[in-house]
Amino acid sequence: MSERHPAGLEELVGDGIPEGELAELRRVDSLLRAVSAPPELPDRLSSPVREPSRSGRLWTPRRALAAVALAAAVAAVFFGLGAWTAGDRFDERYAVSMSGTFEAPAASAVVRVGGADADGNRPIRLEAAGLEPLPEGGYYVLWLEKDGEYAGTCGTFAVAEGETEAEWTVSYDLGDYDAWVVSARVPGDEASDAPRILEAEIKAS
Amino acid sequence: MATEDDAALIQRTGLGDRDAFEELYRRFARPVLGMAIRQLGDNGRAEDATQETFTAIWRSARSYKPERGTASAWLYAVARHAIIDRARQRVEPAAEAPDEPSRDLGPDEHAELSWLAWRVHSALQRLPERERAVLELAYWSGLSQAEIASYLDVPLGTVKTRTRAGLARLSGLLDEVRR
Repeated sequence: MSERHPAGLEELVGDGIPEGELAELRRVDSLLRAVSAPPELPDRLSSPVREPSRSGRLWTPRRALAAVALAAAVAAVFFGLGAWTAGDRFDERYAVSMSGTFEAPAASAVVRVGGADADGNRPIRLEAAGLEPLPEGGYYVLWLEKDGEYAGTCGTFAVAEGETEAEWTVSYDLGDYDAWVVSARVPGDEASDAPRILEAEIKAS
Repeated sequence: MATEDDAALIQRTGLGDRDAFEELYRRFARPVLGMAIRQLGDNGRAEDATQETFTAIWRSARSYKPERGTASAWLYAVARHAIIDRARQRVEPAAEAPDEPSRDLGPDEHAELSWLAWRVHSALQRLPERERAVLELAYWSGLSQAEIASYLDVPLGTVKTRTRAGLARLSGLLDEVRR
């Protein structure tokens, strides 16, 4: 932008403006002078570039099932490799107990947080109990909350007999978040928010 | 659509209404990009963050609760999260993004200025195009009023009239904001 400063307000708007109106214009004038110019949108941002899915939801039941199947396959491969090479060596640094909300007072879980590797990726393991198996196509989601809002997904999992273990790798700086939350997504209940099932405050490593 | 408030647009977006989403984009893409540039200091990454912000808005609009805060504040929070996520992905050594103005700012001042810029830029997007154009030229192009008149090929008096009308309209849109 140019080094030249904008003209004074009276020059910008002309003479003969009533004092009451001029005071309001001065207030806005000072706001405009306090901020930089809004950027022009480049061509690539001339419209919403990525066509979001019509459903507007990242984790549709079909995607979730595919993700769970893929995660299971990957976990099987890595579990086999891990068992072959070193057994179950989860490098736990600390654990966080999760409590059931009023939606599932009998449920509980432990999130085990591993050490971060050189790239900043760290394993997390969820051991949950007392969870209800969800209808076909339903799934649970472990996510991180910040300021009362959804902030990052760690992974999804399903429960058959009320207890389960699931493990993922995340790259989040956990100190940036406020809480761990498990919610349930039930197929056919698209209109409502996924209910919170388990929650726990974040404990920094 | 032009007068529909932001909260209604978010709620319609949450129901999958593409038109509402595009109107939100029209209103907030520049403020989001501006915030991303200020935070990231790199236009390419800022553009990526802008895209990610609107993907997040589309995805999470259903979670917006009007009783928990204003639409603008909700959009600001979503954008801020997307930009922070993008900042975490940097591969080069950490470097503070340049910001404006150039004087040193503490975290509180920085946050306050970011929020102020967000509101001013968002309000500008609500103005009729001809008023917005003269204001942006008057405050940030460095052109004089006479040069703006020449550039837009309108009389000087028209430039002043549009400037006054634009400022008055902004006054209403920024009713609670004081510097």
